[in-house]
Amino acid sequence: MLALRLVGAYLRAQPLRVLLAVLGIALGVATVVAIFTLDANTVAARLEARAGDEVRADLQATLSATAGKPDPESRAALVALPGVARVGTAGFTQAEARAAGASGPKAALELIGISGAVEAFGAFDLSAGGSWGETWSAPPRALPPLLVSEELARERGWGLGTVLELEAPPVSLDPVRRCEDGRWVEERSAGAAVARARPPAVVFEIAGLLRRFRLGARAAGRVAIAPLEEAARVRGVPALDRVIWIQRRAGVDLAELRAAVRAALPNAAVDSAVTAAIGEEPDERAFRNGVRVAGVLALVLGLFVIFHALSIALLQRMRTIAILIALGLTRGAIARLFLLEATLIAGVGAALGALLGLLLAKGLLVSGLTTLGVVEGGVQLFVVPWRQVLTLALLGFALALAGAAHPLWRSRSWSPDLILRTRDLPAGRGVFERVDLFFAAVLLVCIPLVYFFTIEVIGRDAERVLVVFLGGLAAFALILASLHLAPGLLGALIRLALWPARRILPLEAELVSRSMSGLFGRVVVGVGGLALVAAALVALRGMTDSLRGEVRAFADAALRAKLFVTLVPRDEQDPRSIADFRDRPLEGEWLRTWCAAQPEVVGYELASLRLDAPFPIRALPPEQARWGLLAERADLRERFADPRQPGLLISRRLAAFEPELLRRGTIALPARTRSGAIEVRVLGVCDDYGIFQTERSFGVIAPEFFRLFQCMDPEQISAFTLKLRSGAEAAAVVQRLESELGARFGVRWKTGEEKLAFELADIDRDFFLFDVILALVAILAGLGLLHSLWIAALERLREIAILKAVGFTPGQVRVLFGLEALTTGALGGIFGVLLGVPLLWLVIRGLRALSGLDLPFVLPWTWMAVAALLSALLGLAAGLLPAWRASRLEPAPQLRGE
Amino acid sequence: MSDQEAPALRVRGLYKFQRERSREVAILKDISFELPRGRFLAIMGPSGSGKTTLLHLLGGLETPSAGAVEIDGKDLAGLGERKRALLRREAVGFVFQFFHLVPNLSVRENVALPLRIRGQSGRSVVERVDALLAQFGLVAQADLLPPQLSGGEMQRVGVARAVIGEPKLLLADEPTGNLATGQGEEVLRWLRRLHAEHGQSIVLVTHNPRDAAYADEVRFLVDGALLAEPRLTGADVDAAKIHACLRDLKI
Repeated sequence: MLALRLVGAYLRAQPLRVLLAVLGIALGVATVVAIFTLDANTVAARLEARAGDEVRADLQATLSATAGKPDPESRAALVALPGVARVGTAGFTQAEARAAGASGPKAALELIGISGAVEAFGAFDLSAGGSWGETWSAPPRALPPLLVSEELARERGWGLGTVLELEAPPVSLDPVRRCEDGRWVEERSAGAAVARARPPAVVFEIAGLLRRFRLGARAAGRVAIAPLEEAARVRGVPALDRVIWIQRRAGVDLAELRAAVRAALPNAAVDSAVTAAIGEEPDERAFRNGVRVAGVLALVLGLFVIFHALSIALLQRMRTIAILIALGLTRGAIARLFLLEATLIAGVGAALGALLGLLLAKGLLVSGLTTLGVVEGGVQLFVVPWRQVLTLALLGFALALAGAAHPLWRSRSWSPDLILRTRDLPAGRGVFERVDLFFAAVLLVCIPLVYFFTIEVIGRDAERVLVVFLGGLAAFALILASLHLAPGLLGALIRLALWPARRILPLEAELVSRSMSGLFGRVVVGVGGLALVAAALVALRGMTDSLRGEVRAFADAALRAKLFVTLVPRDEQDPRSIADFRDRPLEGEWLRTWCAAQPEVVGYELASLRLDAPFPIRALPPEQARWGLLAERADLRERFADPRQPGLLISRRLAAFEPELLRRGTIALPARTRSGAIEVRVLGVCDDYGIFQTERSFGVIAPEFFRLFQCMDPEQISAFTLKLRSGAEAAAVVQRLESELGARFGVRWKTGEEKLAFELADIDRDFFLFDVILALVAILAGLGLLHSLWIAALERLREIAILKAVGFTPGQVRVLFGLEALTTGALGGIFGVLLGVPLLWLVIRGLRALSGLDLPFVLPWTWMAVAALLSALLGLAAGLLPAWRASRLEPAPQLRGE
Repeated sequence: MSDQEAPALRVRGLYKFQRERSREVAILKDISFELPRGRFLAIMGPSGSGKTTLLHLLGGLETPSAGAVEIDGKDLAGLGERKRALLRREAVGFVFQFFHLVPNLSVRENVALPLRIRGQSGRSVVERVDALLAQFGLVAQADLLPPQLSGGEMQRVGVARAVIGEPKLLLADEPTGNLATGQGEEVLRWLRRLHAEHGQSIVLVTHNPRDAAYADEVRFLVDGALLAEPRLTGADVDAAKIHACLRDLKI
């Protein structure tokens, strides 16, 4: 009871200081809770938007019926890859079914052939018949098993054990044909007729009823699942077009696995599945981890403030402690008393912070800010990641509590006798040095452990994120340590920062210099916090400047003086116009002739010929390549144009992500030939040709490849890119194009400069979240400094009274504190800029490796100046309230001697 | 009456009330007196009689509940805190019982503080400070910080600081209260010399008859009221007579 009364009395007597302490914890916890909640909801919202009826896989590979190896070999090759946990295959075809021996109409259905661990991907649930794995591994059956949808079975009166006959529909799919030398030819086996006759029916036994399936929304619920080989037998072909799903092992890097799968299945189109890979692309992961690092740093700063606040509070009450000891209270009881107080403050702060954090996350989501960029219209979903929220709130609570432990431990050495004898209390410098070192130790041990406990950092990410994270923490700790280990350094910096003020306000500057040099701990709190904010601003803006610089460099090669044209039906609502557009696209000859007649046009690329496996590939007529690498290198152009041995140019980003492409010098591209693939030469790297809105990993190849091996007609054009001469008026070219084609087509166009502007704006939009986090961290730093200056005012009451007694005006007192706040801010800015430069270097280095982009490292001089200035202004703002309070001090009570 | 002729201090009907719990208590009641220029007045009273409050009101550190204070003909009434500070800067010097030196400033800097607050700097300030340090025997301690000084030294610094600006009025609040007897006497001799040699107008509040004996005039403050009688002046100002007055007043 006594403890509660004493604690309650203190909390009531110091409401503002208690409020500041609670706010410090709350803001730190709120920021980090908001960020982790935001991230969880970002992923969940994308999953919800994209999952639908999709299977839960990490990667999917699409293979045509004849491409590459047969299914068992493909699956075996994939399972053998170290990062693969399970593989499942599904092939799709149509069929008709009827009970064996029955007459009457057959049921049309979609027949899906499966092999491997498809059920484990959540592809379907059975309502009867046991699991597919049990069915498949059961003793050999007389008839192959079949799973049928409940709806179909109910409709036809089928059940478990019903024997069905399945056969291909009478009108088959497109005949099996191959592209040979640019012409479609039908497949012929030796001595057999053209496969137009219906293959014989295959008999199955229903072994299970499907309650739910995610293997396609087609067929309106009329679905049957059979072993893959049997489904192909129904179709009468050796193999079906198929999809292979791949689940990775925990901790495996998605991009690395994708590259390995592409190497194992060279004829497959391999990409991330729509479900499990949300936010797992390297650049997305870098962005998300960057946001989370920023959040944890905010928590660190909030706790830094609290550590000092609790230490200062304890120092302020040394006399109280001494009196309590003199009255007979044991040190243990006193420790429990202060721990109770710290528990109350930390508990309220952490709880309030968790609540504020959830509210903040909700607000950010509704406004469209996510950890994967801006979402138009906002995000309505809201789930609470309780494990992470509670962990972070508990972390904030525990570390705040630890902040009380250190001064309590130090107070063991205080002598109550000495304290009660003297009027003045010992200065706090020694205590604060050790507080900072204690805090730094807690920082370096606890924060990384908890951080990596609350997120999944996998593969190559772990090392890079750890480097950046610990680099930032180490630099922060270095600032604290250097300021304590080299007090002369801080003193010199203070005098330097005050030098301009000495010219105008010599007395005030001298008093501030003495005050700041005398109380290190307090100054370090303020400087350290603001330095962190300034460093984060420099690093963030330097990073966005670097990204913008890289985009500009890319744009200089890929976008400059280009006009991107897409043709659409003249009337997109008119079926005849649509049909006309489909049947009579633009002729290649027309485009060649027209471009040759335009003085502004240097050449063109074809955007309507496309291949998306193993990466996006577009067509470039060699004779049109009158700019860039092919214009400079006649030998390369010759090899590029060789129709028998096509050559491929790849983008810089693709070369960075898959360096073995250049090392091997060749790559197998899927083709509609008998072999299913064509090996092409990788000739070189450049970004001069081909641009895709969001994809930077791509290749360009001559149109002959598409004609010869894909049987695509390069003379039928619906989209193209014009390369213009430098300084040419794009609008004039468009006007002429529209006047020529306007009667037949709608013409949509964009200049390269417009695309560049969009990309640059995209960067700013996506990184706006960091600006929000930075603003929160700045508030925290300002709060810490405000608290520190408030304490300073309380510690110097007598000094202020003396100055007023000898003639200091209230305005001069305000100037004193304002000058100290401004100087602290300026010092924070200087340290922050010094810290921000190596931090930026670390971040750029990490981003380069993660993204494969050639990010330039350029010092953001303007932002360095802005960071220093903002830090000074933030310091000044934080000093306003303490200055005002100090100026209103009544000197008389402090000067009484009776 | 022109400023040249105005007394150093004029007090009329001064009241100071203080709220304690739910009622108002009169700390000072209807204080009125004048201090001619060059006069040394000692105001005696027991602890809690309102001596320090009176001194703070005279120096403009607090505002009265009623009444007026004029320093060198300038009325403090109605002045805001800033103007009172400016007036105090030019016209008042304080000597405190607990010295109240700025702990971060050296002896030299503490003494120079009032001049620097006025905006003065340079050679003239240095010379004035050096002269005072010599006068008060503080040359050897010039660069020391207050915690490094003895009580007597600190109070000499306090007196030097109070007089460096040549104030119209010097207010001393129990200047010997924290000093040993010998040190206290030394400080009082300094005050006396300032008064005798420089015509400094001084108001000293004390409860010590020995200290009051250094003044030209002694008055008594009892329960917040300045007694009209007894009032000692001239040759009557000695320790024995002061003791006798205190006995008669039963304080």
